[in-house]
Formats: sequence, C-alpha cells, structure tokens
Amino acid sequence: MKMLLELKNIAKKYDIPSGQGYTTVLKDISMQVSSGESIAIVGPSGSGKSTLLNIMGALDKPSSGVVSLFGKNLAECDDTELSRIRNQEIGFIFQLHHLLPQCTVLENVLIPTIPLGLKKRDRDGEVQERAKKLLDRVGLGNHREYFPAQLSGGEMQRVAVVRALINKPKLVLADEPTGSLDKDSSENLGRLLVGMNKEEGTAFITVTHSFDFARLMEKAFKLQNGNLESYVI
Amino acid sequence: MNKGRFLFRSLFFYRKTHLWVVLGTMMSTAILVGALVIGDSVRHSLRKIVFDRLGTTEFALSSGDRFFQVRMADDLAESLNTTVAPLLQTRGIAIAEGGQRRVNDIQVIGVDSRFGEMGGIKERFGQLAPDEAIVNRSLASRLNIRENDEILLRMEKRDVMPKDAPLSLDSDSSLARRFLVKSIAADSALGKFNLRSDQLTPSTVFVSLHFLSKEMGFEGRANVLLVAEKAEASLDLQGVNDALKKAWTLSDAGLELRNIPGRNMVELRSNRIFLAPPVAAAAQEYGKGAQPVLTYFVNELRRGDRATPYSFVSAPGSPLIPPGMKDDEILINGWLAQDLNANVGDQIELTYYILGLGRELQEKKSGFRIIDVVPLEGIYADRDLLPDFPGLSGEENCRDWDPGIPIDLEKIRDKDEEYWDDFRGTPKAFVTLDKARALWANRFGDLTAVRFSISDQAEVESFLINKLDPSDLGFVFRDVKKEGLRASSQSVNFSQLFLGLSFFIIVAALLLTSLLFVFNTENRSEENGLLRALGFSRKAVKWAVLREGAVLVVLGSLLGGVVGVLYNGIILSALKTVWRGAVGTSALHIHFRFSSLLIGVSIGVAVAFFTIWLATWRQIKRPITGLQRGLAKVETIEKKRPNTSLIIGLVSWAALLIILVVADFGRGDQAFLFFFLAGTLFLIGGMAFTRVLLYMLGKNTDAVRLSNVNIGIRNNARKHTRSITLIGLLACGLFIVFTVGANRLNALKDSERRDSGTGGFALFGESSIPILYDLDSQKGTQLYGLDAINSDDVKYVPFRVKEGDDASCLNLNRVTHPQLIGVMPAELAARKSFTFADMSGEIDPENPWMVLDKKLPDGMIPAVADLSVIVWGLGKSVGDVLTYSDEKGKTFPVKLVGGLANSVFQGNIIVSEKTLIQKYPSISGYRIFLVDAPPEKVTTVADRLSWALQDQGLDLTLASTRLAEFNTVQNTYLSIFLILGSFGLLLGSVGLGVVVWRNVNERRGELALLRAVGYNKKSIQAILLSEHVALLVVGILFGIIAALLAVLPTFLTPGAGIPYPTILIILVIVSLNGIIWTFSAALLATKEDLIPALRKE
Repeated sequence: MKMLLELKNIAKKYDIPSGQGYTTVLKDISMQVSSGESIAIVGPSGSGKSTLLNIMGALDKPSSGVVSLFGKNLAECDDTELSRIRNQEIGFIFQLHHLLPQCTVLENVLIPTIPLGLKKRDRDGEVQERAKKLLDRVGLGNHREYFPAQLSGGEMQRVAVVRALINKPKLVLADEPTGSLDKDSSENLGRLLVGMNKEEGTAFITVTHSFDFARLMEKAFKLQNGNLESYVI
Repeated sequence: MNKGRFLFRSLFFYRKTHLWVVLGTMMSTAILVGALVIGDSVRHSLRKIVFDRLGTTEFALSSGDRFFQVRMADDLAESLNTTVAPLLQTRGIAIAEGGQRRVNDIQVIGVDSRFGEMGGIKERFGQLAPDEAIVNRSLASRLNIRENDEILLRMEKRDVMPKDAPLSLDSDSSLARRFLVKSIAADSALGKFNLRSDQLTPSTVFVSLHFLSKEMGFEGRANVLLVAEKAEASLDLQGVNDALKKAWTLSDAGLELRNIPGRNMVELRSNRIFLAPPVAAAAQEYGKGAQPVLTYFVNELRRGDRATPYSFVSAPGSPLIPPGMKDDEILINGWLAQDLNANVGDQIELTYYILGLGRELQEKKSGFRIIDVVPLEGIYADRDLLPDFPGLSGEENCRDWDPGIPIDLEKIRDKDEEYWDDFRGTPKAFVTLDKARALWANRFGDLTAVRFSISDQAEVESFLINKLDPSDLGFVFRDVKKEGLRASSQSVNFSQLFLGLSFFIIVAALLLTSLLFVFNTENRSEENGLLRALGFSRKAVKWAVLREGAVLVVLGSLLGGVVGVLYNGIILSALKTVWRGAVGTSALHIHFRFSSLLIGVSIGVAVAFFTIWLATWRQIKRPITGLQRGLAKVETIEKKRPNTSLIIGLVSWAALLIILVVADFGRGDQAFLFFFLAGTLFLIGGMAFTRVLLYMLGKNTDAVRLSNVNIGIRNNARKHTRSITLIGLLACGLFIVFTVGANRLNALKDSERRDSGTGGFALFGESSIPILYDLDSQKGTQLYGLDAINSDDVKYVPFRVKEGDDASCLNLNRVTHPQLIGVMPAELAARKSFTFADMSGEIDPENPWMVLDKKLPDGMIPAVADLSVIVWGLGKSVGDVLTYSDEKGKTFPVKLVGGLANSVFQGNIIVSEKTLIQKYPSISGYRIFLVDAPPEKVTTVADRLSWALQDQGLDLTLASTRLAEFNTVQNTYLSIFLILGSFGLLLGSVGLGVVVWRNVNERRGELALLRAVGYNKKSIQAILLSEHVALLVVGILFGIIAALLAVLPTFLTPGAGIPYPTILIILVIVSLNGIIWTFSAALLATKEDLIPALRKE
C-alpha cells in the first residue's frame, strides 16, 4: 500500500495567555498512514486529538517535527499549495457539520469544487453527477434542494460526509464526527463512513471518544499525555 | 455551485444583517454626494444670477462722476454692431406712504429702450414718462408697493464737479422727485440688474434717462455704458476699448476747447475747474506755445492795513509773466495798486484757502514783492483767465456769490461790485506758475487751463484725442460677464464646506458600517474557517467576503447617490429658509452634474470598501483553526503588545504638549487652528492609549480581583476594536458639539470693549448719499442740527467709501475688488479699537492702526481688513497684495498688512483716508460712520442722528447688531455643523445600541452559562452595564477634554458667549441615551430564558 501521511517527531506547545511559559499538548509523535487504511485515535478530552488531526490536515502547524503528506513536507508549502492539498487531497468532517446555512444541500456539497476553478460544463456535468450519486448513497437523494435548517443533525452530518468526499480525496480526516449525534444516528454514520472508506478507497482517520465508533476502524491509537500509542479496543 | 451563486446565496441569506451595512454605506455616500451636489447647485445658482443681473450685457463702463454724452453709445453701437445702452446711475432713498416706509441705499438708474434690449424687453424701459418709474421686486416687497402706487425718491445729485473740489458747491447734494410705479420688474426682466458680483439683489428704481439727466443738470449725459454680447460673433474687451477710443470726444470727458476772443488762441478747460493731470500733461505736449494756466480765488490781498477782499490771482505764464520773474514776486494791476496804495517794491500778503482732507479748508498766507504794476487792459484785462467757478463766475453781483467756501459778503465793498461789473473775474495779480502750483495745487489738479497759440480748435482736439487714452480719465470697459462668471465659479466652495461640515458624520457612518460589517464577519468566522478547511486559500476566502461586501457597498452607495440628491434638496431648502443667514438668498436651485454624482458614489464605494477591507483583513488574518471552530469569539485577547498604538499615543500627546507650549493663546485664527489640532491630537492619543490600556486589562488575570464589574471591563478588552470604535464615535461627536457650541459668536458680549468686534463704538451708520461735513465739526453740527446730541462723549469716526464688491461672508462670490473705505487711522489708534488677529512685519503691534499711514516700498498702499474677508472672501492671506485701478485708470497695489478679528468692517478693505482721496479725488464726503456714545445716550443719539440725516439715507444700527448680522453667517454654518454633528452623535448612539444588542445576542451562551453557574439576573446586568457604561464614560471624558482644549482660545477672546447650558443638555442627552440603550439591552438579555442558548452552545 502506498504511504500517504507520515508524522515524524511531532510536538505542539501552546503559550499560556498570561505569558508564563507554555503547555505541551503533543510530544514527539510519529506515525505513518497508508492508502485505504482506517484509523481511530481515541483519548480523553483535552488530550490533543483535534490538534493532532488539524496538524495532519494542514490546518495547524506543529511546534516541531515534520508532517509529510503524499511525500511533501507541509512546512515547505505556501498557503496556496496548502489550500490545494486541503481542497483536493484531503476531506474533512467536523464534530459540528458546519454546513453553510445560506446554501442548499447540493450546494453545500459542491462548495469544495469552487476552488478547483472548473469550467461550467464540468461543474454542471460530472461533478454534479458525482454529488448526486453520493447524496443518493447516503440516503439524501431527495433532500438535495433542502436547506440545512430543514435537516436533522444526522442528515446534516451525512451531507458533511458527502462534502468531504466530493473532490475524491485520498485522505479523509474526521473530528468526532458522531459527537453531536444520538446513538442511532451515530451508528448509522459510522457504518456509512467505513463503507464509503472501502468504496472510495480513501484512507480514513478519525478522532473520537466513542469506542463503538473506533471499533469499526482497522487500527486504533490512544493519545494520552501527549504521546500516541497503539491501542487495541 | 459557483462563486456567483455562492455570493447570491450569502447575500440573500444574510440580507437582514447586510441591510444595516447597506444603510450605513448609503448614509456616508448620501452625505458625500449631497455635499458635492450642494456645491454644484450653489455654483449653478450663482451662475444663473450672473445672467439674471446682467441680461445680455457683456461689457460695462462706469465713469463715476464723469458724464459722457449719450451720443457716444450710438457711435459705439454702430462701430461694434451691437446694442450699447447708456445709463445714468446714482444712489438714493425710496420713500412710500408719506414716509411710513423708507428704504435706504437703493440703485437709481436712468434708462431708455436700449437698456430694455439687454433683457429682451425693449418697450418696457423705453416708454417711461418723466414721472414714471419701474421698481424691482426687492424694493417693491421692502416698500410693500404695487403698480400705480406713488413713491418719493431722494437721489444723490451727481455733479460734474467733485463735491470736495475747491469752490465746489455744497448745496443740492440730493434731489427729491415723486414717481408713479409703472410696473414691477421681475428678476428675469432685469430686476436683478447689478454690476457688482453679488448674489444679493439690490433694491432698484428705473426712471427715464432723459428725465434724470435733465434733473441732474447735464441733459443727454450718462455715466454707465453697457455693451450687449453679439450672437453672431464674439466681442473682445480690447476691441470694445479700442472702439471707445475712436468714439469718445473731449466733451465726453468734460473738457472744452474754446477760442479766446480777440486773441489768436485756443484754450482747453474742464467743467471740473482743474484739469486732470493726464489731460494737463497731454495738452502741454502739444507744443506750439501750449501755455499752462492756474487761476485761484484768494480771500484777501493785503498791504499793511489796506486789504482787497475776494479776488482772483492767476499764473498765466508768458507773455503776461515776464521772463525771469521770481517765485516770490508778483505783478498787480492798476486797480489793485490803487486800492492797496501799493507800489513796485512793496510787499503784499495773499490769504487763501487750501484744501485739506475732504472739504476741510485751511487758510494760508503767502507774501510777495511787487515787481510791476500792470495796466488793466490788453492781455492783463483777460477775464477768460477765470475758470467757471460755480456760484461765482455766473453771478451778476458779488453779493450774489454763493461759492462752496465760507465768504463774508459784508467785506465786499461798492468798488468791488464795480470791478465785478466792469471786469468780472479778471485777475488782479499775477504770479509765476511754479509758485502758484506750490501754493494751490491739489488732488484735483494744478492747472485750470492750457492755452494754445493756434486758432484751429479741431487740430488741438485731434491731437488731444490721439494723445489721451480714455482710460486715463476712468473710461474703461470691464468684461463684467466674464468677471461675474469667474466670481461665481470661484465662489465659496460649498462642496468643500459641506464635506468639512459633514466630516464627522461621514466618519461616524463609516465607523458604524465597519462595526456592522465586522459583526457580520465575526459571526460568520466559522464559515470562513470551514472554507479555509475545505481548501479555499486565505486569499479566496478574503475575496469571497470582500465580494459580498463590495456588492453591499456598491448597492449602498448607489442608493446613497439617490438619497444624496434628496439630501441636497433638504439642505438647499434649509439654506433658503432656516439657514438663509449663510447664503442670504433664496435663489438657489437644485442642479447636479453627473460627474459629481459619479465622483460621490465612487468615493462612497471606495471609502466604504476600504473600511470593510480593513475589517475583513483583520478577520481573515486569524488562525484557521480558530476561525473554523468559531474561536474568534473568545480568542481575542492579544498576546502581542500594541506597540504601534503606544507610539501613536506618545507621539500625539507629545505633539499636543508642544502645541500647548508654543501656541500663542488667544491670537487669531491660527490659535483656534492650533487648539483644534490640540483637541484632535488628544483624541487620537487617547484612543491609542485606550488600546494599550485594554491590552493591559486583558492581560490582568488576577483572579482575586475578579468581580462583576471587572468581568465587564475585561470584556471590553476582549473586544478592543469595537470598544475603541465606540469610544471614538462618542468622543468625536461630543468633540464636535462642544467645540461648535463654544465657538459660536456672540456679538453682544463685551461689545462695549474697544478690543471687541464693535471697536467699542455704540453705533454703525451707513448713508446712501455722502455726508460732506465732519459731524463733529461746528459746520457739521450746525448744518445737520446736531447741537442737542453732540458733546464730549458723543464722537464720530467717518469713513470715505470707494464702492466695490462686497467681500463679506454675505457674498458667496469670490470677489476681486472689494469696497475700499478710508479712515483717519489716528482716530482708531487713539481708541485702541478692534483686535488684530494677524499682522505682517510692517505693523507695530503696539500701535497697529498707524500702519495705514506708513509708506511701503514700491508704492504699495497698506490696508487692513477682517481676517475672514482676507482668507475666505478673497482667498488671500495677510501679506498678499490686491490690485486696484485709480481714477486715472492707473493700477496700484494694496497690501493687506493686517487682519482683524471679526469686526463691523466685514466686507471692506480699510486704507487711510489720505490715500483714498489721493487715488480717488472724486470721492466726496463720508458714507460710513462709527459713533461713540455712552450707553445711556445711545437711543437718543440714534434717534436724533437718524432723523437729522434721513435725507442722506443714514441707516444707523447698533454696532453690536451689525456684528451680529455678520456673525449670523458664521453661526449659521456652526448651526449646520451642529446639526450634522448631532447626527454623528445619533449614529454614535445607534452604534452603541447595535454593539450592546449584538454583544448580548452573541454571548447568549456565555450569559446562559453564568446563569447556569448561579449568577442572578442583577449580576449579569451589572456585568453588561459596567462593560458598556465604562465605554460611555471614557468616550464622554475624551470628547469633553478634547473639546476643552480646542476651545481654549475662545475663552480668552472677547465676545465668546459659551452656551454652557446647551452643552450640558447635550452631554446629559448623550449620556442618558447611552445608558438607556445599555440598560435596555441588559434587561432584554436577562429577561429571556437563557438555558436553550446554553444547549446550542
């Protein structure tokens, strides 16, 4: 399997607001992720799971260490390149769906296609077809013209999943994707994500509190006291 | 999905919040557009007034007291192939209803049909019977008269001979006639006729030119020529003046050539007795024995105890005066020798008057030695040497003499009568020309005739016409239309004025727009974070936000363009009514150029876009993780020390200290400027230091001192940008209101002080007809019946007037030749009247008025004027030079050496009386008076003086009232500023309301949490109140301190009536308004059930 992501000796520190020193969230973390893998990272609140995920997804920068994504050192990429990577190579799913209230379901899914600068024909054709298929796949084929306010929490999160996959990313990062959902919705979403991981062949990394959700992944790691350890659920 | 669709979706979804941004932009643009359009409207209206007041007139000539023949107009019309209208213009007083209503200082114009042609209404003005008059609307409304009503006109009787010329008659300075009002001339039908660049319409009566000239005593003559523009080909000024040079004759200049009977000679003389210097010079250049002559009237010729009264002495040159005769030698005729019992070698003494200032006569004596006694025959019996002295030369008997000088008819003996009968005014003695000139030359000339040894008058006339230029005698055309249009185009720039007056409201509107846009952007920070997470670059997100903002500002600005025109309509209506004091006319019309609209909208878009760009830039700069998680709301306590703010604060306050140290307290407009700058610097520095303080408060995490109030104040630190914006809005608003309020001019306060704008004088008088005698003098007191009021404590300071444009703030046009007034500077110096706000190096600060008597290099004439006239009326500064043309057509420089603080002289340029009559000898009498009177006598003095001088049309007002009239203009501008400033304050209040409301709305979760952890409603209210009241208090304090600094010089200037109650009321209103908003929002926040908000969070 092809290696997608490599973390080498990653550390992250935050200054204390009063200016009295700093706090270390991540300490010397190294890991490798290959294509098609599904990984869960579990840990208590405040353990730095989201920080680690943000560093993997080029949303945040480590205090030290190297993040290589698809063989590229992210520290050497400028904002344009980082934006391109986030847009085309990575899909994000957040704990809160973060759907844009002003856009319909279909439009929300298509938001990440805007930076691609596609021609109108492509935008209206192939990409839209894919969006519709994916929405059908998650059971929202009839809700394409709905606005977020007309959806349930689980439905909104499914839209967020489709949005994450629209640009055929090689890596999908999910930050507590089931965190805001009830148990049933949470289970449904978990199965959907794993199923789509297989169908789309993407690598899938999620941070979660939910051991049930983590159990659906091929691998699991535990983040505690800034250290990442392999974890068997 | 594409950028356009995303933009549309966002605009539509957030339409409610966007609406406020659109409204904010609309307001700032509307004010910008409104200001520009007001400029267009005023300029257009002034331009229209130029056409109304001139009709088709393009060039005009005004010859003052020289009256040319109406024939000259015909000749010029033929040569220029256009209409040329002659007018006879004078001043007067109109009286209606038996004296019940009277209007002073009106224009009385003699016209014929040619004047009507200038306005396309030939018949109307051409059919005036001798007893008919046309009055303009201004006069009709002031006199409340209609067609067929009767009016009495008292007119200044113009005279070919200046009233101040030696021996000029002082009787009949006015004439009164009754007229039937034939019609009322509308503004568009030459009713606004005025050769001065002024938007105000003078009161005018048009009468028959033929009748008026006949009544004045010079039938068929006029003193104004109007040349109409030509439709088919344009005329140029040079061409018109060249045509004049060909058309004029000596007669038009009051010159006469006549053959001397029995002598093969031609004599040139003037109907003004003395030949004007350019005429005398040209005549003497003729050669062919051109012989200058000066004949003068002496009071007495005395040898010992024998005296001959009232005789003429002449300096006729060769051959009457023998070669080699010395200046202290004299020839007397046999009659005089016998009368004085004088012989060759005897000394005789001549007593005569010489001319002082005005009509003041000084009796002088001069001794001569008789070198010969000549027979009273032949060339020595030449009665033609006597000029045509009015009241003398035409009289049958000596005892009928009535010259314009005091003579004692009792002294005239029978033998004098016999001499008059036999020899008329034949000179009894002859002196050298040099001596005669040394004794009797005056500002009107030094020759009474020039004689030529030739009998062909035509040849002499031809020579003189070629030699002389009409401009030498004041006959020169002005391009009045071009001057008027220039004056209107360079008029008070209302665009700039209103941009200035609206500055703070524009800033307030922009700050509010920015505030609202920042709220919107902050609220959508999660969205922006998401977009970044989804692969939108920082630039792409920024542009997505800016595109949205751009649509809003473009929409707002376009609406602002429309609203701006409406706003302009409201402002114009106000300028024509409640703010009329600023413009003095209701003839203002809405007019806008598309370019102004475009510029206004474009600037509105640019400025608003820049404002939101700044706000967006700050938002997008934040860390992506913060944006995405919505952390922007809670992560605003900065770690970075605000060094830039610290530097700005230090520099501003250091500059402020420097200004306070170096500024000269209480001197001039510069002091006001300095202190206004000081106030502004205080505000800037205050804002910067507040920023630093908020940083420090934000850093202070001492949990021990945590309290509800501290939490509130720390919230301000968290939202430092919005806190500073709010403080800025409030402080700026108060700064305006307080500064404006304190700078209002109050003419009544300290008006009795010599250094105030009244000069300490009680009354200011202006007459329509010149008053020839000093009102303080014995002659003046007797003549005008002022015995009852004239006393040691009632004194007059008179001014001569050379009419010109009104340069006061009542005139919107940019004038170039303001009215000159002449005064004896010692009169003002002795009283230490008025305050000099700015002085050039020529002025002695201890005795500034005496600069008017100083001789400056290069023939420059020192002059003083109100600083506001110099700066705003003329667009000049102290030290600059104006150019005037004297009566001989020669230009001379007038240097503005001093600027007065606001005074009763607004609109005038003050020079010394001596200088004024040197340059304009024809100006006779005084037309402006300052009157000193103790307070208890003011009413009596005013009543008696007005009554005594009502035929001269004396308008007497309290000096403080006149000052107040001028102050009205400034105070009206200040009112406008105050109103617009109050709008700024209102916006500030709205801003505060918006902030409180949005704060509460945004922090519902936070407040809910406080409730959840046990805070009661009162505690939460305390937090919210302390947070916003702190902003309110700081804003008010900054505003007050800055304003106090700005108005410091006003406290030190006389006449500064600071309206403390008004300012206090405004302060209370602003404070209450702020507290009400805050309290309402706090109540609202705690009234609702906050727990659902907690769940959402």
